[in-house]
Formats: sequence, structure tokens, C-alpha cells
Amino acid sequence: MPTGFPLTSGLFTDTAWLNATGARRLGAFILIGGSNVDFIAIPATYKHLLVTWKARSNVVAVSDFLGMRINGDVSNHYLSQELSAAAAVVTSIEYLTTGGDVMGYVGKVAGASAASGNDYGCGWLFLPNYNDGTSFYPSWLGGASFASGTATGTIGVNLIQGQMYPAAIGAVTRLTFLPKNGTAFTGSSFTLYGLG
Amino acid sequence: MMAKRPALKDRPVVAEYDCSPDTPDAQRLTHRPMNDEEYDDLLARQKAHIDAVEAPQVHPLVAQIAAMSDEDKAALAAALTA
Repeated sequence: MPTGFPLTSGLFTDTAWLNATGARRLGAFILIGGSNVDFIAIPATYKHLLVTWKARSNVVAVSDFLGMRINGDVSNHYLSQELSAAAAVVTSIEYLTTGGDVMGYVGKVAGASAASGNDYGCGWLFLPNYNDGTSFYPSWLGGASFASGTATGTIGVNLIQGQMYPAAIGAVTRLTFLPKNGTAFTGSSFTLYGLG
Repeated sequence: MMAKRPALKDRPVVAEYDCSPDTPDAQRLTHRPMNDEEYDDLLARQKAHIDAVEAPQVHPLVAQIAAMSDEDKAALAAALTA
């Protein structure tokens, strides 16, 4: 057994583990219509943040991206790398426009031109160690399942990594979600959890 | 010159969720109009999106050939006409 492992003879002996806050839902809602989704005043009392989402953009296109901003920063401070697969096509793209994009990307969503109004993107976003206490570049990992139809190539999977740079922060206290190219979400839902 | 912004009541809505432990549950979710910064950001993103959609589309093969060195272009031309 590794040194420091809190489980001894079947009993938890580490008080830090016993006192852990566990996972707690910080906020959840269904967005009937609206442009940005803003989680504000996120407490610094957890270890990690997890967001689950289901989203659809109003952009006149088959698909759009779910974008994210941290602490209200609207500058070119976000770097993202996408790996996606649809049918046999695997695509890898980095978003580094002029040193950084104006938002980070989380996953692909359906747009207004998708085959059905019931097509969405859904997925998760993980922000580990969002509160380091000292300045750092927050990074994230997002996974998404995307559908815009039933024909080949219209369903897919995304994995997106991102980092905020060069605007170092001490803690993530606000998360804003917005469609990359559209002006609003339709029938979308977002849930924020604090973990640990 | 920045176009005149619409009145607050005519702007897109932001769904804001206050996660603070001090906020009563019933008051956590509010819907407010975009502030000036958010509205200007939305307009800028829409302009960038429209510019990208309306930009002349260049076939990837044409772009690839245009990026070739003169030497490679000559070699390609020779290969095509051989």
C-alpha cells in the first residue's frame, strides 16, 4: 500500500478525507432562450469544477461551438486544441488566432440548419484545480457528443483542451458560456458542480 | 464610429446564476439585458463571423499551389505537361 494512503484495514483514517466536502451542485438551469450563460461568484472552496451541458446554437449553419470565458475576460487570452471525429474523418485543429482567441472552446453543438430541431451537442467540461491560490493559467478539458443529422458525417465526437494565456489568475470565480458564431442558445441546459 | 446601442430592454438576454453561498436559492437565477461591454462584444463577434462566411472561398488545392516556391511550381507544371 502506498505511503499516506488513507485506507487502513478497511477503515478511513485520514480526517482530511473524512471532512471532504464531496461533490456539490452549485447551479443548474434550463435556458429556454438567451445569449450568454453566466455562472458568477463561484466559491473557492472546492478542488475542481465540472460542468455538464446540452446546447444548441441559433447560428444559420449546421453546427457551432460552445465557447467559454473565464472571469469575464473578453480579450485574446484563450488557446484551444480540438480533436474531433465524424465518420472516418479525424480532424485536429488549434485555435491560436493572433496569440489567442477571444474565448475558449468546450465542444461542438448543433446549429439552426441541423437536420432536426431535436439535434444538440452535449458534453462535459472539467476544470481541475481551479483555485490554486497563486497566479496560474487555468486549463480545461472538454468532451462532446455532437449530432446535426442522420447522414454519414453528421454525428461526431469532440475532445477539446484549452488554456488561458497570458492572463494569469488566482482562481476561477466566473464562467460564461456563449455560442461561438450564433447570438443565442435555444433549449439548452447547464449544470455546474464543485468537486472535492 | 460605434453604432448606437439599443435600449436595455431591446438587447439580448443573459442568464446569470449566482453561486455565492450567501445568496438565497430563490434569487440565484436572474435574466438581465446585456451590458454595454457584452453587447459590443456580441456585435464584434457577429461581424467577424459574417466576414468569415462572406470571404472569398479558395479551394485548398489552389491555396497549396499558391504557397509553393517558384521551383516547386515549375516542377509541378513540368509534371503536369509531361
